[in-house]
Amino acid sequence: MAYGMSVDNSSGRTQFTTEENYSLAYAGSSGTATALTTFPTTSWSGTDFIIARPASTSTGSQGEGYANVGRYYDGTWGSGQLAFPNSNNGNGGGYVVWRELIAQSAASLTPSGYGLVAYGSGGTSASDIIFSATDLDVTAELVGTGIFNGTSGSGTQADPYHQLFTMDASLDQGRYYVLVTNTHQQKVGGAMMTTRIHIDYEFRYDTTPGTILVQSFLKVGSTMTSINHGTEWAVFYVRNGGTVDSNFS
Amino acid sequence: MAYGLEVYSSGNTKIVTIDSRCTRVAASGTTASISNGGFASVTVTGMSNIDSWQVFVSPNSSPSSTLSADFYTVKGTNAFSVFNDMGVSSTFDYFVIRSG
Repeated sequence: MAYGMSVDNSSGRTQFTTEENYSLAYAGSSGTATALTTFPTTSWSGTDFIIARPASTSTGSQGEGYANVGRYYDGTWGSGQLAFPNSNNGNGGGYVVWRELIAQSAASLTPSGYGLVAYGSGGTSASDIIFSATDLDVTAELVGTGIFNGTSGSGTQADPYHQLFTMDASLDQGRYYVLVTNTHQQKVGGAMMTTRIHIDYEFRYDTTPGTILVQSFLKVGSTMTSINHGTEWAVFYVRNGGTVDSNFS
Repeated sequence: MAYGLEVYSSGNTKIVTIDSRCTRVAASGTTASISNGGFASVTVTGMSNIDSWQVFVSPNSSPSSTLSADFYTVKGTNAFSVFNDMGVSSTFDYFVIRSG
Protein backbone atom coordinates (compact mmCIF):
# COMPACT_ATOMS: atom_id res chain seq x y z
CA MET A 1 0.00 0.00 0.00
CA ALA A 2 1.33 3.40 -0.91
CA TYR A 3 1.50 5.86 1.95
CA GLY A 4 2.82 9.32 2.75
CA MET A 5 1.57 12.83 3.19
CA SER A 6 0.18 15.43 0.83
CA VAL A 7 -1.15 18.91 1.56
CA ASP A 8 -3.45 20.66 -0.89
CA ASN A 9 -4.87 24.06 -0.01
CA SER A 10 -8.40 25.27 -0.61
CA SER A 11 -7.36 26.68 -3.97
CA GLY A 12 -6.51 23.18 -5.11
CA ARG A 13 -2.78 23.84 -5.10
CA THR A 14 -0.43 21.16 -3.81
CA GLN A 15 1.88 22.67 -1.21
CA PHE A 16 3.97 19.58 -0.72
CA THR A 17 3.54 15.89 -1.31
CA THR A 18 5.53 12.77 -0.66
CA GLU A 19 4.06 11.26 -3.82
CA GLU A 20 6.89 13.01 -5.68
CA ASN A 21 10.52 13.19 -4.58
CA TYR A 22 10.60 16.90 -5.33
CA SER A 23 12.14 19.01 -2.62
CA LEU A 24 10.85 22.41 -1.52
CA ALA A 25 12.73 25.41 -2.93
CA TYR A 26 13.53 28.04 -0.33
CA ALA A 27 15.63 31.22 -0.06
CA GLY A 28 19.25 30.61 0.85
CA SER A 29 22.22 32.95 0.79
CA SER A 30 21.95 36.60 -0.31
CA GLY A 31 24.23 39.34 -1.55
CA THR A 32 24.51 42.45 -3.70
CA ALA A 33 26.01 43.09 -7.14
CA THR A 34 26.61 45.80 -9.73
CA ALA A 35 26.64 45.57 -13.50
CA LEU A 36 28.95 43.19 -15.36
CA THR A 37 30.30 41.64 -12.19
CA THR A 38 30.48 37.92 -11.65
CA PHE A 39 27.14 36.18 -11.32
CA PRO A 40 26.75 34.17 -8.12
CA THR A 41 27.99 30.70 -8.82
CA THR A 42 28.81 29.49 -5.34
CA SER A 43 28.21 25.77 -5.29
CA TRP A 44 26.61 26.11 -8.70
CA SER A 45 25.84 22.71 -10.07
CA GLY A 46 22.52 23.42 -11.67
CA THR A 47 20.80 22.85 -8.36
CA ASP A 48 20.35 26.42 -7.26
CA PHE A 49 19.28 29.56 -9.06
CA ILE A 50 19.30 33.28 -8.47
CA ILE A 51 16.50 35.80 -7.91
CA ALA A 52 17.13 39.54 -7.61
CA ARG A 53 15.59 42.99 -7.36
CA PRO A 54 16.82 46.60 -7.55
CA ALA A 55 18.21 47.85 -4.26
CA SER A 56 15.77 50.75 -4.17
CA THR A 57 13.23 52.72 -6.17
CA SER A 58 15.73 55.43 -7.12
CA THR A 59 15.72 56.65 -10.70
CA GLY A 60 19.15 57.52 -12.01
CA SER A 61 20.72 59.00 -15.09
CA GLN A 62 20.06 56.20 -17.59
CA GLY A 63 17.10 54.20 -18.76
CA GLU A 64 13.47 54.24 -17.76
CA GLY A 65 11.91 53.11 -14.54
CA TYR A 66 13.85 52.13 -11.48
CA ALA A 67 16.04 49.66 -13.28
CA ASN A 68 16.24 46.72 -15.61
CA VAL A 69 17.26 43.47 -14.00
CA GLY A 70 18.77 40.77 -16.15
CA ARG A 71 21.80 38.66 -16.93
CA TYR A 72 24.29 39.54 -19.62
CA TYR A 73 24.86 37.04 -22.43
CA ASP A 74 28.33 36.16 -21.13
CA GLY A 75 26.88 35.06 -17.82
CA THR A 76 27.71 38.14 -15.76
CA TRP A 77 25.17 40.55 -14.31
CA GLY A 78 23.50 42.89 -16.85
CA SER A 79 25.07 45.95 -18.41
CA GLY A 80 24.77 49.50 -17.16
CA GLN A 81 24.04 50.62 -20.70
CA LEU A 82 20.85 48.62 -20.49
CA ALA A 83 19.78 50.59 -17.41
CA PHE A 84 20.84 47.86 -15.05
CA PRO A 85 21.39 49.34 -11.59
CA ASN A 86 25.05 50.13 -11.17
CA SER A 87 27.20 52.77 -9.64
CA ASN A 88 27.38 54.78 -12.87
CA ASN A 89 23.71 55.43 -13.50
CA GLY A 90 22.18 55.18 -10.04
CA ASN A 91 19.09 53.40 -11.27
CA GLY A 92 17.59 51.19 -8.62
CA GLY A 93 19.95 52.55 -6.01
CA GLY A 94 23.07 51.49 -7.90
CA TYR A 95 23.02 47.75 -7.34
CA VAL A 96 20.84 44.68 -7.07
CA VAL A 97 20.05 42.53 -4.08
CA TRP A 98 20.09 38.86 -4.94
CA ARG A 99 19.10 35.67 -3.24
CA GLU A 100 19.73 32.05 -3.98
CA LEU A 101 16.85 29.64 -4.40
CA ILE A 102 17.86 26.16 -3.43
CA ALA A 103 16.15 22.83 -2.88
CA GLN A 104 16.11 21.74 0.73
CA SER A 105 17.51 18.39 -0.41
CA ALA A 106 20.60 20.17 -1.74
CA ALA A 107 21.26 22.27 1.35
CA SER A 108 22.86 19.63 3.60
CA LEU A 109 20.26 20.27 6.28
CA THR A 110 20.44 18.62 9.68
CA PRO A 111 16.92 18.97 11.11
CA SER A 112 16.76 19.28 14.86
CA GLY A 113 14.38 20.56 17.49
CA TYR A 114 10.74 20.28 16.55
CA GLY A 115 8.63 20.71 13.46
CA LEU A 116 7.49 18.65 10.50
CA VAL A 117 10.13 16.96 8.35
CA ALA A 118 9.13 14.81 5.36
CA TYR A 119 11.54 12.57 3.48
CA GLY A 120 11.28 11.05 0.05
CA SER A 121 11.43 7.39 -0.79
CA GLY A 122 15.22 7.25 -0.72
CA GLY A 123 15.59 7.25 3.05
CA THR A 124 16.26 9.79 5.77
CA SER A 125 19.51 11.43 4.71
CA ALA A 126 19.76 15.17 4.06
CA SER A 127 19.46 14.64 0.32
CA ASP A 128 16.14 12.87 0.82
CA ILE A 129 14.43 15.82 2.50
CA ILE A 130 11.47 17.05 0.51
CA PHE A 131 10.02 19.34 3.19
CA SER A 132 11.52 20.48 6.47
CA ALA A 133 9.53 23.08 8.36
CA THR A 134 12.11 23.17 11.12
CA ASP A 135 14.79 24.38 8.69
CA LEU A 136 12.64 27.02 7.04
CA ASP A 137 13.43 30.61 7.88
CA VAL A 138 13.30 32.68 4.70
CA THR A 139 10.92 31.45 2.03
CA ALA A 140 10.35 32.47 -1.58
CA GLU A 141 6.85 32.00 -2.91
CA LEU A 142 6.07 31.84 -6.62
CA VAL A 143 3.65 34.65 -7.44
CA GLY A 144 3.89 34.96 -11.21
CA THR A 145 5.12 33.03 -14.20
CA GLY A 146 4.71 33.01 -17.96
CA ILE A 147 6.53 33.01 -21.29
CA PHE A 148 8.80 35.82 -22.52
CA ASN A 149 6.45 36.80 -25.34
CA GLY A 150 4.83 40.07 -24.28
CA THR A 151 3.41 42.37 -26.94
CA SER A 152 2.07 45.19 -24.77
CA GLY A 153 3.76 48.56 -25.16
CA SER A 154 4.53 50.90 -28.00
CA GLY A 155 7.96 49.52 -28.86
CA THR A 156 9.96 52.50 -27.66
CA GLN A 157 12.75 52.80 -25.14
CA ALA A 158 10.29 54.32 -22.70
CA ASP A 159 7.63 51.69 -23.35
CA PRO A 160 9.25 48.50 -24.66
CA TYR A 161 7.29 45.37 -25.55
CA HIS A 162 6.36 43.55 -22.39
CA GLN A 163 3.89 41.74 -20.20
CA LEU A 164 2.83 43.57 -17.08
CA PHE A 165 3.13 42.00 -13.64
CA THR A 166 1.31 43.87 -10.88
CA MET A 167 2.49 43.58 -7.31
CA ASP A 168 0.03 43.26 -4.45
CA ALA A 169 -0.22 46.77 -3.04
CA SER A 170 -0.86 45.41 0.44
CA LEU A 171 2.54 43.71 0.53
CA ASP A 172 6.08 45.08 0.83
CA GLN A 173 7.13 45.64 -2.77
CA GLY A 174 10.79 45.40 -1.78
CA ARG A 175 10.27 41.69 -1.31
CA TYR A 176 9.35 40.97 -4.93
CA TYR A 177 12.24 39.25 -6.71
CA VAL A 178 12.57 38.17 -10.32
CA LEU A 179 14.32 35.03 -11.51
CA VAL A 180 17.47 36.24 -13.19
CA THR A 181 19.39 33.09 -14.03
CA ASN A 182 17.64 32.53 -17.35
CA THR A 183 17.19 36.15 -18.42
CA HIS A 184 19.22 37.48 -21.29
CA GLN A 185 20.69 40.80 -22.37
CA GLN A 186 22.98 41.30 -25.33
CA LYS A 187 24.18 44.01 -27.66
CA VAL A 188 25.82 43.03 -30.93
CA GLY A 189 28.26 45.00 -33.06
CA GLY A 190 27.38 48.44 -34.36
CA ALA A 191 29.62 51.01 -32.76
CA MET A 192 27.01 53.57 -33.77
CA MET A 193 23.74 53.48 -31.86
CA THR A 194 21.86 53.48 -35.19
CA THR A 195 23.18 50.04 -36.06
CA ARG A 196 23.59 48.46 -32.68
CA ILE A 197 21.42 45.45 -31.93
CA HIS A 198 19.96 44.79 -28.52
CA ILE A 199 18.11 41.67 -27.59
CA ASP A 200 16.56 41.60 -24.18
CA TYR A 201 14.59 39.15 -22.08
CA GLU A 202 14.58 40.82 -18.73
CA PHE A 203 12.55 42.64 -16.09
CA ARG A 204 12.02 46.32 -15.47
CA TYR A 205 10.83 47.59 -12.12
CA ASP A 206 8.72 50.46 -13.35
CA THR A 207 8.17 53.91 -11.95
CA THR A 208 4.47 53.19 -12.19
CA PRO A 209 3.94 52.11 -8.62
CA GLY A 210 3.79 48.41 -8.09
CA THR A 211 4.49 47.09 -11.56
CA ILE A 212 7.19 44.98 -13.18
CA LEU A 213 7.54 44.87 -16.94
CA VAL A 214 8.51 41.46 -18.27
CA GLN A 215 10.32 42.61 -21.40
CA SER A 216 11.07 40.65 -24.57
CA PHE A 217 12.25 42.54 -27.61
CA LEU A 218 14.81 42.90 -30.36
CA LYS A 219 16.01 46.40 -31.08
CA VAL A 220 18.02 47.38 -34.16
CA GLY A 221 19.02 51.01 -33.91
CA SER A 222 15.80 52.64 -32.75
CA THR A 223 13.47 50.05 -34.27
CA MET A 224 12.07 47.61 -31.75
CA THR A 225 10.13 44.39 -32.38
CA SER A 226 8.57 42.04 -29.89
CA ILE A 227 9.82 38.48 -29.79
CA ASN A 228 8.47 35.23 -28.47
CA HIS A 229 11.56 33.77 -26.87
CA GLY A 230 9.92 30.47 -25.96
CA THR A 231 11.37 30.42 -22.47
CA GLU A 232 9.70 30.97 -19.12
CA TRP A 233 9.94 33.75 -16.54
CA ALA A 234 9.09 33.81 -12.84
CA VAL A 235 8.50 36.31 -10.03
CA PHE A 236 8.86 35.35 -6.37
CA TYR A 237 7.83 36.96 -3.08
CA VAL A 238 10.29 36.53 -0.22
CA ARG A 239 8.97 36.15 3.31
CA ASN A 240 10.89 36.83 6.52
CA GLY A 241 13.95 38.21 4.77
CA GLY A 242 14.64 40.73 7.53
CA THR A 243 16.64 43.86 6.84
CA VAL A 244 17.81 42.54 3.46
CA ASP A 245 14.35 43.25 2.08
CA SER A 246 13.28 46.45 3.77
CA ASN A 247 14.58 48.97 1.25
CA PHE A 248 11.36 49.63 -0.68
CA SER A 249 9.33 50.60 2.34
CA MET B 1 -13.66 27.32 4.56
CA ALA B 2 -10.12 28.10 3.50
CA TYR B 3 -7.55 25.47 4.38
CA GLY B 4 -3.94 24.58 3.70
CA LEU B 5 -0.51 24.48 5.29
CA GLU B 6 0.88 27.26 7.47
CA VAL B 7 4.46 27.40 8.73
CA TYR B 8 5.86 29.91 11.21
CA SER B 9 9.50 30.79 11.70
CA SER B 10 11.18 30.64 15.07
CA GLY B 11 10.43 34.36 15.36
CA ASN B 12 6.71 33.69 14.89
CA THR B 13 6.63 35.10 11.36
CA LYS B 14 4.33 33.28 8.98
CA ILE B 15 6.57 32.03 6.16
CA VAL B 16 4.20 29.63 4.42
CA THR B 17 0.57 30.67 4.20
CA ILE B 18 -2.43 28.63 3.18
CA ASP B 19 -2.38 30.52 -0.12
CA SER B 20 1.32 29.97 -0.82
CA ARG B 21 2.32 28.52 -4.17
CA CYS B 22 5.11 26.31 -2.88
CA THR B 23 7.66 25.38 -5.50
CA ARG B 24 9.50 22.09 -5.58
CA VAL B 25 12.64 21.41 -7.52
CA ALA B 26 11.89 18.54 -9.88
CA ALA B 27 15.16 18.39 -11.80
CA SER B 28 18.35 20.31 -12.40
CA GLY B 29 21.66 19.86 -14.13
CA THR B 30 23.53 20.57 -17.34
CA THR B 31 22.83 19.18 -20.79
CA ALA B 32 25.44 17.65 -23.04
CA SER B 33 26.82 20.01 -25.65
CA ILE B 34 24.16 20.85 -28.24
CA SER B 35 25.33 21.74 -31.75
CA ASN B 36 23.89 24.69 -33.61
CA GLY B 37 20.53 23.63 -35.04
CA GLY B 38 20.29 20.69 -32.70
CA PHE B 39 18.43 19.90 -29.53
CA ALA B 40 18.69 17.79 -26.41
CA SER B 41 15.87 16.12 -24.53
CA VAL B 42 15.94 15.72 -20.77
CA THR B 43 13.77 13.15 -19.03
CA VAL B 44 11.73 14.37 -16.07
CA THR B 45 9.39 11.65 -14.92
CA GLY B 46 5.86 12.90 -14.40
CA MET B 47 6.33 16.10 -16.31
CA SER B 48 3.65 17.45 -18.62
CA ASN B 49 3.10 20.57 -20.68
CA ILE B 50 0.97 22.48 -18.19
CA ASP B 51 1.44 25.71 -16.26
CA SER B 52 2.39 24.04 -12.98
CA TRP B 53 5.67 22.91 -14.57
CA GLN B 54 8.31 25.50 -15.38
CA VAL B 55 11.60 24.93 -17.19
CA PHE B 56 14.42 27.47 -17.00
CA VAL B 57 17.59 27.19 -19.06
CA SER B 58 20.74 29.23 -19.51
CA PRO B 59 23.51 28.69 -22.10
CA ASN B 60 27.11 28.29 -20.97
CA SER B 61 28.82 29.31 -24.26
CA SER B 62 27.01 32.25 -25.80
CA PRO B 63 28.37 33.85 -28.98
CA SER B 64 29.28 37.54 -28.86
CA SER B 65 28.96 38.39 -32.55
CA THR B 66 25.56 36.87 -33.24
CA LEU B 67 22.33 36.79 -31.30
CA SER B 68 22.97 34.53 -28.37
CA ALA B 69 19.32 34.44 -27.32
CA ASP B 70 18.34 32.09 -30.12
CA PHE B 71 17.49 29.13 -27.97
CA TYR B 72 14.21 27.92 -26.56
CA THR B 73 12.57 25.10 -24.67
CA VAL B 74 9.58 22.87 -25.35
CA LYS B 75 7.82 21.06 -22.55
CA GLY B 76 6.42 17.61 -23.22
CA THR B 77 5.29 14.46 -21.47
CA ASN B 78 7.95 13.14 -19.08
CA ALA B 79 10.58 15.31 -20.77
CA PHE B 80 11.51 18.70 -22.11
CA SER B 81 13.78 19.71 -24.98
CA VAL B 82 16.28 22.52 -25.40
CA PHE B 83 16.77 23.81 -28.95
CA ASN B 84 19.96 25.64 -29.85
CA ASP B 85 19.99 28.10 -32.79
CA MET B 86 22.69 30.39 -31.42
CA GLY B 87 25.18 29.55 -34.17
CA VAL B 88 27.61 27.84 -31.82
CA SER B 89 27.60 24.69 -29.73
CA SER B 90 26.82 25.04 -26.06
CA THR B 91 25.80 23.18 -22.97
CA PHE B 92 22.83 24.54 -21.04
CA ASP B 93 22.20 24.66 -17.33
CA TYR B 94 18.59 23.78 -16.58
CA PHE B 95 16.27 23.57 -13.66
CA VAL B 96 12.69 22.43 -13.52
CA ILE B 97 10.23 23.42 -10.84
CA ARG B 98 6.81 22.12 -10.00
CA SER B 99 4.45 24.63 -8.45
CA GLY B 100 1.13 24.29 -6.76
